[in-house]
Amino acid sequence: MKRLNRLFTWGCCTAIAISVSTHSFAAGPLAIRAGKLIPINGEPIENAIILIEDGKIVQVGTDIEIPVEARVIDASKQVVMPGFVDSHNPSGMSQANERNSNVPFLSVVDSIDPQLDYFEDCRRNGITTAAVVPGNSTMIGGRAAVVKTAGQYVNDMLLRRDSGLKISLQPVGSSRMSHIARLRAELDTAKRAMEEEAESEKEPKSEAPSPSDSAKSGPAGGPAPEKPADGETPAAAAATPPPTAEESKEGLLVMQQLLKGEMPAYIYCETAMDVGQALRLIDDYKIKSILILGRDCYKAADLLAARKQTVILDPTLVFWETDPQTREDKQVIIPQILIKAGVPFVFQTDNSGIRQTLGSGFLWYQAATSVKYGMPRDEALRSLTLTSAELLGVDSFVGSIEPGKDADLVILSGDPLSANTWVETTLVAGEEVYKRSEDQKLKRLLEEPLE
Amino acid sequence: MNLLTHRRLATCLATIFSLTSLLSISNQQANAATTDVYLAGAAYVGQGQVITNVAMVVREGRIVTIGPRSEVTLPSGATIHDLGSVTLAPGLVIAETNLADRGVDEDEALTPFIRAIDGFDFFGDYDSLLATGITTVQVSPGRARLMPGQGAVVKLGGEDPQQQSLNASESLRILLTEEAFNPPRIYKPPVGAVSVDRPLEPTQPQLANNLGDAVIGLRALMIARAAEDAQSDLVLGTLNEVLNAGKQLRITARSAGELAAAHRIAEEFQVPYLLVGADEVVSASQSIPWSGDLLRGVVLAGKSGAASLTNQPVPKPNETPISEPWERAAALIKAGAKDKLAITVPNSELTDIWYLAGNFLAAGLEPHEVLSMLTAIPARLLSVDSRVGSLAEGKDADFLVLSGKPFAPSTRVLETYIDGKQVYQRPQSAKSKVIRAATIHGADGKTMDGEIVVQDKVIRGVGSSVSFPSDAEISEFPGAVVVPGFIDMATRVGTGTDLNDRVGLNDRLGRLLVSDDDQVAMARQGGVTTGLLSSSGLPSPVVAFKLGNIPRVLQDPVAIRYSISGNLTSEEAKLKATLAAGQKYAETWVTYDQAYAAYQKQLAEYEQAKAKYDAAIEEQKKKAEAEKQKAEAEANAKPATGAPSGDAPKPDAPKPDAPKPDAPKPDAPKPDAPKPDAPKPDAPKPDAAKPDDSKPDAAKSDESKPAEALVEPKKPEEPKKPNVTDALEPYRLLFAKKIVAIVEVGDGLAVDLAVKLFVDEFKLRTILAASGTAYRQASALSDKQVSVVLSPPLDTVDDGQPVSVAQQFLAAGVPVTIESRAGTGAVNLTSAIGFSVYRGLGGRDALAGLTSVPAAQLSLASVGSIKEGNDADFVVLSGEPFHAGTRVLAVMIDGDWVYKADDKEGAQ
Repeated sequence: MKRLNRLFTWGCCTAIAISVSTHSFAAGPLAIRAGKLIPINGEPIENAIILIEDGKIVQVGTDIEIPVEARVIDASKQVVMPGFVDSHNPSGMSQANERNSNVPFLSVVDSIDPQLDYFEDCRRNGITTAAVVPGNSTMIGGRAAVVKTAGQYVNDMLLRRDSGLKISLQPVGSSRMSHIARLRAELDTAKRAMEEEAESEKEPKSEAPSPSDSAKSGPAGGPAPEKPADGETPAAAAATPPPTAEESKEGLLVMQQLLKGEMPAYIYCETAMDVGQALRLIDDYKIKSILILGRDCYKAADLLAARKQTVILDPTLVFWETDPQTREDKQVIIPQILIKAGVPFVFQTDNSGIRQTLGSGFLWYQAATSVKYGMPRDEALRSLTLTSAELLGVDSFVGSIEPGKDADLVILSGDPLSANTWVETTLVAGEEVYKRSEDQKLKRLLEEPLE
Repeated sequence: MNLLTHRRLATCLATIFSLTSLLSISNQQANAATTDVYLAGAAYVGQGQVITNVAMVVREGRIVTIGPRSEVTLPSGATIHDLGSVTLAPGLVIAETNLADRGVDEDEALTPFIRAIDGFDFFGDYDSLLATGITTVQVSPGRARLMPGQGAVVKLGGEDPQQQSLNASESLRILLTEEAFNPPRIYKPPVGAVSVDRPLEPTQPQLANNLGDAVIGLRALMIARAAEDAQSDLVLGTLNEVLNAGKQLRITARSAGELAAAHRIAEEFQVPYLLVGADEVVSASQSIPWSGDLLRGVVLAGKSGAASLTNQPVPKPNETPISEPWERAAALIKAGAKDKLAITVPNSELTDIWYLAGNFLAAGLEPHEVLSMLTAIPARLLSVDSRVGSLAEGKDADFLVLSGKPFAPSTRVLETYIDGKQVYQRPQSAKSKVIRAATIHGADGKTMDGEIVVQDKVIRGVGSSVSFPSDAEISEFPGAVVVPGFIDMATRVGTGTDLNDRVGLNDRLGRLLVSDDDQVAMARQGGVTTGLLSSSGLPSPVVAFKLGNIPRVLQDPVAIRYSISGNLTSEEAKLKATLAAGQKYAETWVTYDQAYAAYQKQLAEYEQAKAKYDAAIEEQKKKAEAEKQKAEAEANAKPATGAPSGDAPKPDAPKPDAPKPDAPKPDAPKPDAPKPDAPKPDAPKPDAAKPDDSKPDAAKSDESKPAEALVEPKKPEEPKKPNVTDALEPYRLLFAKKIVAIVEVGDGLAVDLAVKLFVDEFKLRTILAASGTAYRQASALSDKQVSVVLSPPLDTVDDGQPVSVAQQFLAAGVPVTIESRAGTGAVNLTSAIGFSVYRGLGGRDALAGLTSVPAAQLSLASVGSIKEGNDADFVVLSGEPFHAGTRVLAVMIDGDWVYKADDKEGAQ
């Protein structure tokens, strides 16, 4: 209870701090002297200056005159790089998964809570942009959004609404084949409705909506007119409760957006066989997609390599596997396998269970692990920032330090992939949203125990 | 072997030449390099006759040609694989399995839209099936619902899922069997709280409760699918989609009724169908037109549980007994469905399919016909025959290499190929190892060059032209010298701790040895492969063991170790008493053993005599009986004179018979031994006292009544076994000279005392662990034929002069062995001895002292020299043994490399 109180107090403090900073610094220009600047889109620059105005980067270089009125952050002994981008994380919302397995009509925007610890941790760890994506246990889990990790209200944070529709190939409570069959049925329904709409547009008639309605209600579980005599229901989606008419209409619209290529799908593949399924779905329905891989998907590395598409890796990058026949243990190093196969990838962090103090809970650690196993350094740093931003379709705003982009920066005490390095300051849109010197939680964590 | 290499080399060169020539012509031609030619003894092509002496050309995963070698023109530049006398066969095609999601069922009974291919894991582990030769399988959805979904046909190996999937929608599955009846009722909970809009509805029943329901339901579905807007319904839409595409129904039906129902539905709606199961096909054979067009085929289940016996009800007189699968096959063949039969077995028994399908030979089929039921026919039934199921031009190169004729009991799948790529190879049994080095120190001090071949932990051959299998693992050590593994006469490693406590002489120290001991691993880096271990509390038993990762006891005990030190007068008295006690104990056992041997002999004789005696008694009884009858007969019928004359010989006959058994015994080879009297005196003589007694009796019996003269032979008495005294048990071995006494002595008087006690008085095989100036007594020792064991340093300084102790002993003719008396220090054994070699000890003598001499002294025949039949224990040295700079490169113990210098460097 006491701890809860304390947490509450911290939460309030942070909120106040943000609101205060919004008022005091937003107006004037800001300059950062960087000991070393890693812009990602170019070579690192020593002793660089970044000029920021209205939350945007205005100028980057070594020969820049700092305006007199500008506030200056001196990071001349430190490293400045773009804020990290978390490409797949359900932690930003209040609950990752729905009980109903088919909820395309939902949007995470309605569930993002800016006060969550997750966002605070993001700022502490240098993450300035995060894709909030529904969890892996819902077949069609709703629409994701890309947000900044600082802000008082969701609308302040939003960078890209409806950035993608989450689809999970991991069956929950049914077999894989029925899972896929149901997913296909949903896509087929949307496709059929779309085709019918297109037809009805061609020859405008008043009775157009009726066939489309029946098409919808059929698979959705309503009794079909041809119902056999003994009262058996041929409905496909019988196991999932039918959504209301409103919801199903909106859901259908979303599915159509997906099929039209207006919105990509975040497809979660639990096992290697799901990768094959995902690729088939992508081909069959011509949908844009971002693949999120489970641990065992490394076996499908060749399939992925043929697509030349950036994938999001499982948080577990290195693990041991026992051969069922020979009983021999073998170490699987996923980055190594994918680099060899030529599959581009970005990382996600492990936020299962107890919050970790070191390891796969940190993006920089994931990158450092990959560098250890053969990933080029600059590529690893790019995957933390610009590659992830590209994947999420927000690279015109964030991901690198160049004029015109948002001033989402992270000031590090040293090398970004070193375990000794601290995030000193995190800036979102030119505002200091995190300072290590003011981080009470970290201080408490690091101070000597009382007893 | 040389020949083999040459041939291989020649093939290689030929390939290279042809390659380069091709390359020079054009780049496109270079693709011909991916052409493979397989030459085999025979090929079962899937359908039709067997081709003998076959050649098959494979390019880019497809079969280009297959035929008799004489008819196939081999493309130039192709890689030729001469497989020898093996048999080629198509990869097996299994017409039904549950490999997709293990046949998990949905709640709904009608789910035609579910596709098994979505549940098949292309990245799964199918090694055991590939090892069986199964390359293509049908995967079925569900197993206990009326219409669980669509089946698919997939390959179990290949490049990518797209390639592997042969037929994504092969059939629509329907089960008319009992397990599909009574599916669960469907319960659809309302979303959120129950209200007027969202009432709690009762559970819904589903199809089907029985066969009748199922047929009615299916008929209703078939009619409904013709409705105008059926397309908008998932079930009916899918049904239309599948059936309009000409896909078949796959109907599982066992009983005659189910089979008939399956046929009725298919015929009514004119849908092609496949029957699976068909147990009661014999009784249903009249009701179905087996040769009709609608029936595509029948998938018969092989007899499962072949290795166990199950009780079956005794068939009633008018009942047909349960038919065996091959009887069903025979019935169907009779009905004209021969080319429609395929075989499957439950998933768990797929790996035994060769045996289970082999049973179908009982239907009067040839092996190639049964094989076609596993290849070509199922491929056709699954509509994948354009790609798999037979070895023919244009087909995928999915084939098997069998060791012999299919279905023969000893035939094994040697290799499995999918799309021309090997996906399985039968592992070779226990590979041989070959060690190549510049010099090998063989037995009897001979050196040679060449190879050592090791198989099953033992040296199979040494020399320059030893034959070894082509798959042997070859270790090359250019310029290296191979010597036998060293025998350390006293080591301190092996148990993980120091053995300082006094142990009982009968303790088995071998039981204290531990596996994977780091100290052992270090000691053997010095080349020690066999060690002798004793406690430092003397006297102690000594165990000889191999320093492998798992220590192997060679002999336990191999010796007893004593020590003579301190006050020699009291030592002498003490030792003498100990040894005397031991000797006495050993002697009582020797006496007993002799007495027991004699007893065994007597016992055998007694048993013979007893048998003879029993026979004699029996004879007497008979005789008495006969005489009695005769007397009666004479008394009763006097006028009949002819009768007594015929009877007369009877009473006489037994008389010579009784002693007869005596006669053949001593000299059996003489069958025509004359009268019983003659052999009798000869026979008993070699025997013990008892037969003597019986002989006079037998002799007497000739004259008077034999019954009284016979004396029963006496059973010999077993000698009394001495009490076993555990602590003295080893002395029996010691005094029998089966093991040696190793006596730690310093020098001077102690040496004399040891010789006096152990050699002169108790006449034991003795090795003296000498030190100091004992070498001065060397000549005295050589007279007594005593050997010595020395520990480094092997030299000393006597009177200001450096002396090589070992060399002094050797000069006097005393065999010298070497002990380290060290733990991990043994790692430097070779360099310590190297110092003595530098001081004048012969390198060869030093080597002998570590190998052949201790082996001889301890009677350990299997170690100590490199010769055929010995244990494969070697040390590979970088140069001549004990030369400065010579390192241990590798150590092998019992055929396993336990140390390799390279590995160690690599690891660090």
